[in-house]
Amino acid sequence: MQQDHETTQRRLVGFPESLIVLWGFLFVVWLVINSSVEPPIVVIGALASLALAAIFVRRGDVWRLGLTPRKVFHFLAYTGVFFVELVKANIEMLRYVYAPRIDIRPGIVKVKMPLRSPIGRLALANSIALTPGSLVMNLQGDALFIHWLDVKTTDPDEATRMIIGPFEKHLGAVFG
Amino acid sequence: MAEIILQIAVVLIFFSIVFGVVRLVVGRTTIDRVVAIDMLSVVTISLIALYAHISGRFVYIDVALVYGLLSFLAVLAIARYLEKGP
Amino acid sequence: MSELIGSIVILVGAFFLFSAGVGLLRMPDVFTRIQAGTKASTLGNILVLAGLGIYHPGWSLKLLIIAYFVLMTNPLSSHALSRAAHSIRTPMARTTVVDALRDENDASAAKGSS
Repeated sequence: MQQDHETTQRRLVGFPESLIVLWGFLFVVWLVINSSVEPPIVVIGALASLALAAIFVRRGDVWRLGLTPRKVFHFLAYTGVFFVELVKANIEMLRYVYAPRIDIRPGIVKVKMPLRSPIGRLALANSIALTPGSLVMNLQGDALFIHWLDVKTTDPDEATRMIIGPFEKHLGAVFG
Repeated sequence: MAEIILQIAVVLIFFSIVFGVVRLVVGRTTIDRVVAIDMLSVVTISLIALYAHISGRFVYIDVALVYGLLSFLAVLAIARYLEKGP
Repeated sequence: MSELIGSIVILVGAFFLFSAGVGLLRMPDVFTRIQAGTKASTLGNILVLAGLGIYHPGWSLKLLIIAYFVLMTNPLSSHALSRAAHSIRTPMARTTVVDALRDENDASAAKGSS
């Protein structure tokens, strides 16, 4: 009983603000997809997105994101780094694809996962999948297994530095 | 000028679809075919959006969005099924 | 003028989609094909949608949602596919140098059985 009470207490920490953030996000998506501001559509959208946001925020602590100016700044910086890496990845991929003879040494290496929160892990895994020659395959505990198109090192620490170095700082600041 | 460039772009996208279909037919393993379907769905989203511009109808953008959602769910379901084994 | 810029951006995107198709044909094994297909087609799709946004500024919000959706879901399906391919032991290319995931799974299986 005591246990139940404690978990309820913990769940309600940060409830309103993360609810408002998620509600706003879903409501904006609804308005953009409908692309009209007639009263019935706005009312239905507000109710539906409020219900969805309440369900998702109550069900788990995945969506517990505080919103501070520092986090917004780091998120914007992360977006910039991400697009630069995406273009670099594609140019490298073009080099492999149009080479007369494909000369690659693929392999699966093990890398340490520095982030704790589920959303942060999702964002990091998605960024790795879109950066030069790497693809996340599995996550066991704190170890990420990455398929690397051109293996340069098999040492976990060195590989961690080479693959997730560019993102770690900003994502750590945003999601923790 | 812009029209000609668009036509070249559509021809390039057409060849990309041809390559995807070749990989889908040749296959070798099941996962290869599913990868080809995944790539084809992304190419098709671009093509539907481009067709919305060519025909000048905004409605087709919604079609692209729903197509992307459905094909993503399908690929995810097939991957989970293959992972557990038939 | 904006028409010309938009069509050139669309052309670059179409070129990336084309090279995704070429990569899908030429790469030696499943995992490298997943990489070629995912990366190049994601950037190509985003560039095509951006070019359309330059053509029609009124559509750009909805195009932005589609681009964001593809950006989120395409890596996810590539993770799922590569994990499935590895767990059903799809053969890898002959030039593969290291497979840490297979080693890890074998080690944990050996520990569990002993």
